[in-house]
Amino acid sequence: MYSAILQASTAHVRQHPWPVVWLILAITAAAAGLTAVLILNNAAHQDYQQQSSHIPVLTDFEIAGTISSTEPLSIEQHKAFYSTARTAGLPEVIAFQRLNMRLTLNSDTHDVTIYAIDAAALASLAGEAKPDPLGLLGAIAVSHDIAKGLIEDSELLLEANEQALGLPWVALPERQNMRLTILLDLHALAQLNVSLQPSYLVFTTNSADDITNYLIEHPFQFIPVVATDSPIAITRSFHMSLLAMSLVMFLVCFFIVVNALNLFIAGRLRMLKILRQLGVSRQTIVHLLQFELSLYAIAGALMGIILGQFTAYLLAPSVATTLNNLFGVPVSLGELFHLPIYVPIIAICLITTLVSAILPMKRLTSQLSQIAPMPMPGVTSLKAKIYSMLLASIALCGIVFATHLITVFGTIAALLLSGVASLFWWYPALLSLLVKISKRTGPLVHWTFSHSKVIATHSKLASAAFFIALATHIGMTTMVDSFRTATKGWLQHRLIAAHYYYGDKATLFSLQQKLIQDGIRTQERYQMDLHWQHGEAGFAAQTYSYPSTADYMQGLQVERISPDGISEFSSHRGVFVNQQLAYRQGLDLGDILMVEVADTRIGLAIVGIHYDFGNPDAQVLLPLDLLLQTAWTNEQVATQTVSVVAIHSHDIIALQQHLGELGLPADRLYSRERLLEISLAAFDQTFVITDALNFVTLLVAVFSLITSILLITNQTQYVSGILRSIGVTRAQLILSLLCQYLVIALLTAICALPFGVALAYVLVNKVNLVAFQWLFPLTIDGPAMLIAMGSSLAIIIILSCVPILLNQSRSLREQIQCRE
Amino acid sequence: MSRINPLAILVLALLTFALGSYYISSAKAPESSSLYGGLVQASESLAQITPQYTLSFPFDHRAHPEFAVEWWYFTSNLRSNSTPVQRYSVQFTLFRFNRGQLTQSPWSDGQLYMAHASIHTPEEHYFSERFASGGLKYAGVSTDPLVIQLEDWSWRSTTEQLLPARLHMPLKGVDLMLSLNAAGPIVLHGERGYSRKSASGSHASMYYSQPFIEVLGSLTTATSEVSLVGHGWFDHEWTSQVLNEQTQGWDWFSLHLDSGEKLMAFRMRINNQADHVTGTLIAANGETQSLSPYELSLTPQNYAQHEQRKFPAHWRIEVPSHGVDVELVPLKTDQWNLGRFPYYEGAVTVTGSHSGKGFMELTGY
Repeated sequence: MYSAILQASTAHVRQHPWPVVWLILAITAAAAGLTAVLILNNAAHQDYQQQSSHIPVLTDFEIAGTISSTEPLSIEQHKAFYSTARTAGLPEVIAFQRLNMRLTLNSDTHDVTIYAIDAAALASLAGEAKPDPLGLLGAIAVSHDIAKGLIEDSELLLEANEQALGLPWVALPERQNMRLTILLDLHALAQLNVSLQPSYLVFTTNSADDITNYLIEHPFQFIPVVATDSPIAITRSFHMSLLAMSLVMFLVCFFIVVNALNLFIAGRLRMLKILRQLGVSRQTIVHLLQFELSLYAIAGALMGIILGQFTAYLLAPSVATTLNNLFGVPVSLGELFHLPIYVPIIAICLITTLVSAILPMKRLTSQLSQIAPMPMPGVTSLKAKIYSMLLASIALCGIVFATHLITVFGTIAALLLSGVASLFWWYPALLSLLVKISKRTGPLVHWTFSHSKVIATHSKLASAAFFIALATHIGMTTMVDSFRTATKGWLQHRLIAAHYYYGDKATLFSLQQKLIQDGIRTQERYQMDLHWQHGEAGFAAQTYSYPSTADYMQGLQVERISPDGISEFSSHRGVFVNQQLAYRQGLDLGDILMVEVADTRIGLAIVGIHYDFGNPDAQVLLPLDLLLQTAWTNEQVATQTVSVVAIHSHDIIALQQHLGELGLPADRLYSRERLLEISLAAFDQTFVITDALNFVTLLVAVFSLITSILLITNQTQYVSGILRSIGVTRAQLILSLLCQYLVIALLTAICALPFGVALAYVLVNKVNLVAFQWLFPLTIDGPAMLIAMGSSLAIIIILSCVPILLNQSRSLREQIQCRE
Repeated sequence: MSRINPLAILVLALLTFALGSYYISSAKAPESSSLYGGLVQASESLAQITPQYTLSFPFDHRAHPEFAVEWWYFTSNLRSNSTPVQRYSVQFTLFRFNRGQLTQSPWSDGQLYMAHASIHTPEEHYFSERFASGGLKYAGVSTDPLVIQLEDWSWRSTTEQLLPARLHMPLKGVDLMLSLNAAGPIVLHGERGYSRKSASGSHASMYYSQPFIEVLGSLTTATSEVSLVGHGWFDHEWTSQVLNEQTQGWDWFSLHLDSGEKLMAFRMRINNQADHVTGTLIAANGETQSLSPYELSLTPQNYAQHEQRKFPAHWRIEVPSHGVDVELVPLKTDQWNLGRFPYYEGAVTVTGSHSGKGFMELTGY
């Protein structure tokens, strides 16, 4: 019997393949989105686990913090401290030095970032690491840009300070943004006559308290790597957003599945009734349908996995760019094959398909029992009001009180669901009003609105999906546009000079000397990583010099500033901190930050909190001469060069001449406009993924609505037949049906609009603050919202034409017979 | 002709994709098979040992950095001092490698130290490996008093002599403190300490031992402290003529027989040469008898498997001229030290013509 029924089903699929194809495609889309996002998130996490937070060349190690001396020490004093620490049972403390220096590599001179470490001590910690620390004893590891110019199995000749050292080389694991970088043993670096002032990396396992207690009697301080600084913590918001968006897409896809299932069962109803009449039990029919659906779910999931895998490969470069631009976290996303996640995805698709089939199956069993069909699950107007208000209250509380990512996501969910509930509440009421008004207009218009109401009742799920997708789309677009506007304004203010030349400290210094001789005004900026203290809390922050001239102070965009902030800053009594630092450490204007300046601890008041979009790090701005005082020697200033020489446009010819004289590359010279262009291009690239996912979700929701309409159109064809039999023309009917679908879509879109704006508010004021610790003003762009609404409505109308035209091309007899 | 089923193609493609990717992701680089993974530099340019060298103490307890490789090796068979009596074993080794012609700097004197610490309790095996550059004060051998140390693992004598001394070896989760006292003299192996390791004489080392060490101490874990008592064996060996590319590995045994005698035996396995077997039988009063390959036989009795390594776990040692015919059975089934260069090092039980305890080291498997 089973095989006979299956044969009948197979024959039916051959004759009517589209509902099955539609069903499988919907499952495929759901699985593809989920697969791609899970793969990318997993790949990113694998990369993070291989990364230390701030030592890109030691990616296989987890670093708890650093120890640095609080006063200048001789090399013998450093060695004595190091030896004592390791003998005292702190084998995780390892001598280390990072510096930038000009180095001749096989006769070519480069400005190289050098990481030197006690490789033997590091080998004690490493099981398997790349590069092998023991291999660094008598070898040098180089970044790929250096390695590609070298011959394999050759020696690399390093020359500096009139010393030469030839060492075999190995390539460092490839990382983004790792340029001209070498890793070598401290011993090898010392042979180049480099004066070392090491700090000490603290690898995990020792507790921070042990280290701090040990250091009490030593002139050293421990600066822990804050857990929130780890790549996993920094990028959590992005990965959660990506996952949330893929879940929205998954949900929306399963709205299509439900609709496709209804379509699928409706198409089979006649055959199933015959089977029932032949004595096949309802249970057998349901089980066989469930078996068939399971096959489709597995097929759809498998195709989705392949598509998702392919999508992940396509999106990986953009995701890597986004993570780098937005969070400053370089990832390679090289490991994109994750067998373990495939099985759960197949299981999720299978279970969700079967769960989605519960209600359609219940309806089917009641139809096969020849009792009145089960009504579509509905929510009464009163219940919808209650749900709507309850969810709106939760969302409101979330907007006011939510401070963690999870609660913020909860707020967003509550907001969207309250929108769905309110849609169910006022949507029928509005349609009833339209029906009432249309009574006076004529029978066809009246029927158009009356039938809209019927369709609306049967397409609630699809409308809800469309609502969620459109509100999300409006919210995300508004947030991104606001961010772009804020960033552009901030950059326009911040870029004071007409031209900028970027280079290392030595380059800029020589260039600046030449320009000063010509009487040209230049402005250099230096950076150091300093340890700051606020009350009991200590933290490391990028500390930049910032000019206290009027034009630069005007260019500093601030969120808050003390009344006499500029004069306090200029007179070395105050500092500016970026929003990121202020929100992370709970700082406000007037708070005192302590720092070591010229062997003395001084307190500086926070006089302003400035915007610093796109920077994942905490930042403090100091006047240049004060920054210089924090260093023991001038050599230590700007060892991590971010120096900029800013030139005004009329001096550009002189600058170009000097570049030629000094043999400096001209491609590091940027005009203000070019910098702005590059920055905004990087910004747009950052949001490519968000935009793409957003658009796909909206598209899927549109398809969901179309599927629903297709089902209803099929079910109500006989009505068209009756209308045509009483004289309504085919054109009038087509127009009427298009109007009906447009009304439903338009009402849903109108409802989505305010919720989209509310969502944008939450994204700007909550998600941004929690994820990035920066804030910017919300900019409402009406035309952009109308374009989003209009384009989705246009797609709906265009796609609706297909089933409407197909159905209306049938003969009157066929349409009336469809009742059966 | 039957039609090709698209679903079958899809399933086949998926399976191929999955298996191919799994194969690629599971492929690993082969492990280095050389002893000490190339840490030992070409030896010809370094000082060579000669049979003419006369060992003197305490002078030769020091490091001999002019030679390629050197090790200070302590093993101990211990039992708990309370009922039920349970057996423990301990190993502490400091290796020194000459890194060749590197210029000295404040951060290295051109030597590299590696230390191994291993503790076997009835249930657990604690093992750790550390490295340090020479010249950094926290690793190496200093004299007066004699200290053999890498970080907080230390053999600390009270004088410039080897013993009495204290061995402190904290490992993760366990802390070992042993008091070591001499119960007999230092003994020289081979020809007054010049120990040939191959029939051709191409491989040799300077080698002396202190096999008469009385050990008392304690092992502390987070939840308990066990008092320990037993015997220890100390070796010191250096050479530039052992660890070259031809060396496959060796099997080494140090036995404390209940009769008070001690036996050191080893088999050197060298490419393209017959295995070289030699040893030293040490009387209870410290008198030594060097054993030639004709007087000593080392025979594997059966083999065991550890991951990809097949190794002889049970041995028979015969010294017919002295009536010694003993079988060695490992105290525990798994006594591999899984450091960067894995090798077998563990306690054995001696039965047969003599009973006793000892240690077995198997390398190059």
